[in-house]
Amino acid sequence: MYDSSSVYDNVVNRADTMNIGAHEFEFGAGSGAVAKLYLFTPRQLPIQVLRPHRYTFTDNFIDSIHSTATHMQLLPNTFNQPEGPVIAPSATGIPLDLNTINQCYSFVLIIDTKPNASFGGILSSLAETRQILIGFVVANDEPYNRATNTINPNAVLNFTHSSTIRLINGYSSRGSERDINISNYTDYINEVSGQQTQMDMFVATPGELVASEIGDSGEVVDAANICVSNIRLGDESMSVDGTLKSPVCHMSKLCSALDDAISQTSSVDVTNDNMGMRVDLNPHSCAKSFFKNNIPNTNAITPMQGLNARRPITIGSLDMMFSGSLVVKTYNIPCASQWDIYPQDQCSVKNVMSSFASMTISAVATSCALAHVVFRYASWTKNNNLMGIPNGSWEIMGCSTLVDVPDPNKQLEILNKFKMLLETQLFPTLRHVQGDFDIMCYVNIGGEVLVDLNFLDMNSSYNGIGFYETNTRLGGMLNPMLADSATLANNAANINKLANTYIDKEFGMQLHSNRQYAQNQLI
Amino acid sequence: MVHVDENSMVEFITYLIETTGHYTVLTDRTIQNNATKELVTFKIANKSNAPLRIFKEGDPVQGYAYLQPFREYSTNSAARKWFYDLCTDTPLIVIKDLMVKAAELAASKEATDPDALEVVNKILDKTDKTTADEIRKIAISELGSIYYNKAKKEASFNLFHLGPSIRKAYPKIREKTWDVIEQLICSFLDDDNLDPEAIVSHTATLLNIPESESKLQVVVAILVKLANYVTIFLGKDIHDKELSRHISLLNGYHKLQLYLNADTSFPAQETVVRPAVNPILQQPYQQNMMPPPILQQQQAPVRQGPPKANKAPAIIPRAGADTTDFKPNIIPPAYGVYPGMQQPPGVQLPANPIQGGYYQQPGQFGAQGYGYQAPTTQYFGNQYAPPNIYQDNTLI
Repeated sequence: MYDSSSVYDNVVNRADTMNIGAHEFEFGAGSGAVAKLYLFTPRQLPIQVLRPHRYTFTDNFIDSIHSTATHMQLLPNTFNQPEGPVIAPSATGIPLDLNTINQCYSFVLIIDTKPNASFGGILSSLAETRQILIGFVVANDEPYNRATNTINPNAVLNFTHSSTIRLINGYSSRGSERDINISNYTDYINEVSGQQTQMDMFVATPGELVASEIGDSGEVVDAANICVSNIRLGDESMSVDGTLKSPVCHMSKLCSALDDAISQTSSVDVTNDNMGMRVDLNPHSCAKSFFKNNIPNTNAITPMQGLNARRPITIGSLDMMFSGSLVVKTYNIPCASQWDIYPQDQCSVKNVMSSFASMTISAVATSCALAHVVFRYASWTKNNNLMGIPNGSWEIMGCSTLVDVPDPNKQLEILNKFKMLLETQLFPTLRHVQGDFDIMCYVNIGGEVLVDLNFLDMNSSYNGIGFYETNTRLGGMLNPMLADSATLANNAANINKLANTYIDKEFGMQLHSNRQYAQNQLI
Repeated sequence: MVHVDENSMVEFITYLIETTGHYTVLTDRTIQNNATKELVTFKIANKSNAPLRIFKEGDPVQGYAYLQPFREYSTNSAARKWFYDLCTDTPLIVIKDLMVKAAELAASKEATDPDALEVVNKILDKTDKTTADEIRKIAISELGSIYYNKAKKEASFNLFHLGPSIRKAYPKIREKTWDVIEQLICSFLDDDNLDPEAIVSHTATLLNIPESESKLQVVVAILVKLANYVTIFLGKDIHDKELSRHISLLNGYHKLQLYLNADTSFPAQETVVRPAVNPILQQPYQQNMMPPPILQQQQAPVRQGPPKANKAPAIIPRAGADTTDFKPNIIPPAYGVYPGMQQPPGVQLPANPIQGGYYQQPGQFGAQGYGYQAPTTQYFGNQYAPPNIYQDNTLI
């Protein structure tokens, strides 16, 4: 049935060096850890086009962020410049060949741990940690045998995404309550990601694109070390911060990193005496170095305890890890979409902005600890309030949280946060691009993402055709930080221009770059 | 009638490409080289020779190198560079064609058109049979250029025919031929006292696309000046009136594809000029700066580790014979029932605090609308509700 033997061999190659008999898990987790593995039958995904995020950092934009006092939360009107959003999906994109993935079972693995009793004094406020790992099952045989009701212990779980939720028991003026902390939201990129297309793909996280502190060119000379097809068999997956999928959140991180770099460079410790010796450091070079260190790269933080999601694991090993307490549930899901699909392989504003929306909404939903949410928003329906601010209309058709939240007020708080984040990070951009719109969306962080985005001013032939469908189980395979060479070159040039111009504005124009500086110092 | 729409924009780009007669835009918006009858191709990410195509919304995501000339990025793509090189060469190609034709008419004394005679008469006494051939030998890049000053955001058309360097470069061209060239250029550009430094210049007003705007304004301004002579001497229409209308809509064309980044061709190679002397070491740069031992070390063969076993370790029970020894704690699923429809046993869901339903209940979607029947009802409500695995309280 499976034509995935080569994929299996590759994946198991990475599995056999780690994660098998990982006893440290029990040590860290204590004896209360519970794991549930949900297996889903194969599903035929519609054509998936990876649209890398492309930077357009204009001079006006750099001026505007430089003049803003604080950038911890980038304002929508700064993000949306007259030339368009400063980070937007590419119109062309990379079509993925998902033939192999379409034949694989997918899974959601949920591991709940309680704090170790021996740590009780220190971590008494820590309630539980829930790790949610998503990916595909790679096996030469079916992972689940319906006839015998047994699982295939050799089936390998290949992780594409993980989220970690930590619950914290708190005591405040409101009484005792449980706070939800999303401590980790990571996509994994490995050699399977590179096998979905014949094209050379690069992991273009900001940290990989900023040139070293010496140098004045934004051109990428050699990108072999971030080429996905160059990942060696047996290596750990690269981990990319999933919040970068939201372009506004991504830009906010870059802005705050720039701010931090400037303030770190300006601090007395860096520029003045150091251990009694005067250190003449070039502020431009220092600031760029700090900037490079502060921005996300291909080494995002992953959970320190428990399962190492950077490596695959067999179901058999997983069961041994949990001392036979692993619970497996299998689900038969529809083998193909049951609704009309809007084709992704067209260069259209609808596709580009649907990609923008699906990426942003899935990132925002997870940051709000929502497991699934179905909503509709119409920008053209104005609230009749006294201020006359053009608010749109919301209709929440259903949602659930990643962990049980019994307090109704807390539920409302979560939902309001979700609304607020979308009203900040998504809707202004959609409105800026094409005017009033109507969006209906279904997001399941362990499954489908469906977006029906209709712009009122758009040609009617584009509207009401079907859903833009993608799937969060693809995780790192569909992460917009994966880029083709043209996008890589564009983004590298732009991010270096942003850093150099911003630093020059702060410390004054540097004459003929660092080469001149080095010359002055040495001669 | 010219409107700001994609068809109009494609027409504008087509006129600019086809003016010289060297290229033709085909019906599928790909571009053919008339000399070789082959399509113009560029390298894109996964293909070495993808045909160049003028971009329109709705085009397929792969297979073409798209031309999107009215956007500017921090990098200059090869397709975009090709287009603007062609545009800035176009006036010079047209001027050269006109000069050759005028010289031929003057030498053969066959001109009958009164407008043509007005020009030809000025060079009649200095022209002979070899003049046209001499003009053909001059490269257009030696004749002039459209130069863009990035600091001033200004493009200017400069001619070099009066400069001494170009005359030195062509020592076999006679002095009287240079006089003919000067006379013809003055006639075609309708100016008796040309300032060769900047005949036509334009400072950008569209700050999103300053280089594109200023270059195209200069190109169109020169083509409009030449249009009458092109009709008289070459018998062609270079669509000067249409070009003038289109250039006035440039800002609209820029905004038309503002949110579609479709430029897929590789970035144009930038040449970096290195100084002759290393400023730090104060020595001339050498071809290879690495000392020989490092090179030798790099050339040594890389040792390959032993191949990894291409199978799972033996400690894992195998499916089949070993399965009976392996007894994981499995809860079999209930067949025929989609689990998302099930209520987790023993869980009391809280009151529904939000209009429209907070916790998902079967059939509840879209119940509270505002005159709009949400199509999600049929998709999400009953057929394919998500498995509510995260709410399974039996876990904690």
